Amino acid sequence: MPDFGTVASAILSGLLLGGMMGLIALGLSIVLGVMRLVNLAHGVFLVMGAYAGLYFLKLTGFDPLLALPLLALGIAALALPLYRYLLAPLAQRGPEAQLMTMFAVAIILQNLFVFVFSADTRSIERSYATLPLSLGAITVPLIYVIGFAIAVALILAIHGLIAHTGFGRDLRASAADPAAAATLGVNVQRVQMLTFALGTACAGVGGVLIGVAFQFSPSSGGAYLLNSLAIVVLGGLGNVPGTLAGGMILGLLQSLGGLTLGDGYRDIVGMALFLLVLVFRPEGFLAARRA
Amino acid sequence: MNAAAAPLLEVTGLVKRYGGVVAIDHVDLQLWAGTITGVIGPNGAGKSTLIGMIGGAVTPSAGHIRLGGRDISRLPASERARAGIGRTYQIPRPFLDMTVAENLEVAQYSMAPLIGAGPARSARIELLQLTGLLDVAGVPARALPLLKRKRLEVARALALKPRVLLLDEVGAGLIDSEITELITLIQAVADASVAIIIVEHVLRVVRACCARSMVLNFGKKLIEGPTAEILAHDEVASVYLGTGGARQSAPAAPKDEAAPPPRDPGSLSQLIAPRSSAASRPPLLELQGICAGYGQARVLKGIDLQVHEGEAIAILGANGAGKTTLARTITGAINPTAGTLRIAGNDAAGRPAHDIAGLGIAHCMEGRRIFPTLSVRDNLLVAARRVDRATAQQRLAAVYELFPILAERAAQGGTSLSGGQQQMLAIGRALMARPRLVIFDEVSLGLAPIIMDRLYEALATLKAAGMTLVIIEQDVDRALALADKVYVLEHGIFGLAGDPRDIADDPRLRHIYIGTAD
Repeated sequence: MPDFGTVASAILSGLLLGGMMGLIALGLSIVLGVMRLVNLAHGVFLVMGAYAGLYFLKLTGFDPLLALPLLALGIAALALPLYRYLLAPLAQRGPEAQLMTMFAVAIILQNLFVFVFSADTRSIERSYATLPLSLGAITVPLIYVIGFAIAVALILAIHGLIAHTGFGRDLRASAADPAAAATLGVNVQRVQMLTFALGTACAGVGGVLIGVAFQFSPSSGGAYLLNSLAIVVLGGLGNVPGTLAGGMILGLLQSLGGLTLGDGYRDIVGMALFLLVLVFRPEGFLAARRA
Repeated sequence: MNAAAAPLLEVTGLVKRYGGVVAIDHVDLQLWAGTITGVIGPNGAGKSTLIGMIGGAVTPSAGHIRLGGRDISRLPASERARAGIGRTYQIPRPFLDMTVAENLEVAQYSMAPLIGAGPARSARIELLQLTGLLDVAGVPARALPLLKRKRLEVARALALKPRVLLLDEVGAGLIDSEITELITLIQAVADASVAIIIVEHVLRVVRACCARSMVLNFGKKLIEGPTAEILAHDEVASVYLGTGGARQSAPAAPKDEAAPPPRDPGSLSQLIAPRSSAASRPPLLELQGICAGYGQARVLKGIDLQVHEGEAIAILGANGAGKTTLARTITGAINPTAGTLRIAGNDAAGRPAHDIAGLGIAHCMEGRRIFPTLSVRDNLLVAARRVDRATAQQRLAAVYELFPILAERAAQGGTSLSGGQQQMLAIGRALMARPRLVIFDEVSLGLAPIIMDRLYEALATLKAAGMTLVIIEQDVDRALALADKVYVLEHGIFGLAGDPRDIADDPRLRHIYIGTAD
């Protein structure tokens, strides 16, 4: 039986890590809500963000967390031509065409990473990444707290963008009924392109955080994609605060799973939860579409 | 035909509710083997819902459906098909990559998995012969034109050896000569052991095939009897033409919805684009030889139309005549296949919908299309494009003045409103763009007469304030009262055009809607 400090530390670590996963999942969620596209390259975009952070540090010597806005913009800018030249032309060909295209993009990028960066496991080495933060018996890595704070700030900012701005109104209208939105003058393609860029930026920023907190390799993306899908289902599509909550719940359960069953079982707990929600609350997919 | 025998299909007290909306309200229906029954009624009357409940695609809220005495109300669609209910769909859904013969095999083997190849083939050939598809048996369904797809739809339903056959809008999208072929087909498949229901807007099909018919209106059975009598009935004419007969008997609506609009149109100038000042200006909207459609279905076959600033024109026509397709073509939701479309002199054919909205054309869409995830206020603000906050607020205030109930409900979800309020929201939303021209598409559809009056008062106020209006309606009376000029769509062309007083008295109008004159 583990002592109180171990359990409480695991719970808190799970919640903090879950907040970061919530940010990653939010990127997947808004693209799914607006474009009806499960972006299978989302995990690879995350890995791209991690490599971008790593090489930014190597080349400039500046801390990638301080340059997050710059890195986010750069990764979002890469998403624009992908939308313009790959996804937009396929918009009329049914949902499978875009889905398969992004699957292909994921495979190509992953192999490109192996080719350019090698298949070695890397991490963005920062002194604070290994520093513990203690509060009585509870000890969590400092980077978890930093990452959580950044993720929650960004999730709240995106929530404000979607709920309270003109662009957010266009985004919600385009998600609900694209044809009606277009008739009312909304340039739905532009909304979709910007949403895709925003979703990609979420993955990229998440990747930098993950890159500092953990190790990564070109093939790390798949697990984050699956976790993000589970979080979107848990939180309800298009529900921004729900996505944060879903991420934290998944992170918590994974921590508890790791604690009781051993660390190798973390992902199994997440996927079991994903299936349970699908069985008992499948309407979580659409019914809770609020934001 | 023996009324004393037990009916093959018996529907009792069937009800379907969608939330607060009652789509089908206690409908009874009895069908005997060897009969063909027509089900007619205006858009939104509940015809497709009724067919859906009999076929099993829609679950009834109450009531029973018995087939040969067996209660099938709760069986899923696949088991109903095996129990003997075959149906066609409004839009044909063949397996596109299979050949015509393979499409039939799917139905045959789902009915009788152990059927021998020989008997199956001879049954198939018989069916293909009956439905006139023998020469295309080896052709993939994707390559079939619309009429042949409809034939395949019927053949596939027949391959299930149904006891009850439901034909849902098989005539939609076909031209006159094709409808003649279709009637011949239906008469050929009629058989003493089968009961057929035809749901149809093309009344020629009903008149030619159905001995008896029933009329649905607002989800209720309005009248039932021999088809010839039904179609000659004044009440049926009023359902299709919307004459005011129903107004006196309608229940009073809640006061807030029925309150008259403001008399002073001062604030309306916020919502109406100023007139252009050029001396020799082109028509605001000009169509020449516009053709359009969906895939194989040709809907518009050469439309010429000019709308000048300040005019109110009405476009009438029966269901399926192409009214909404015309609106969607003007607003860029679908691209014309031929012809020219000019908005204030600018070529607009093929431009995306948001560009056309930017040229000053607003579309109050059929079915309202309120965004359920947006508040009333946000629904309105979506349409105020490229304006600063103060201007958007002024327009909001003007819409709230026109429909005060929207101000009260501003923070609520768009679809939490009643049907009439949602229609007010849709109208207000179209005005938020401060458009030069608004197309009002079926604004009175499915609403109580007193709410229709209220909405039309608002349209009259807009017209008086100088707005250019295109009103697309099934409700002839109200549209005629408001319009300066009327066009009647029939089979994708304007069959009749002119001054509303002349059109109102024209016997061809009744003919186009109900077709009793032939």
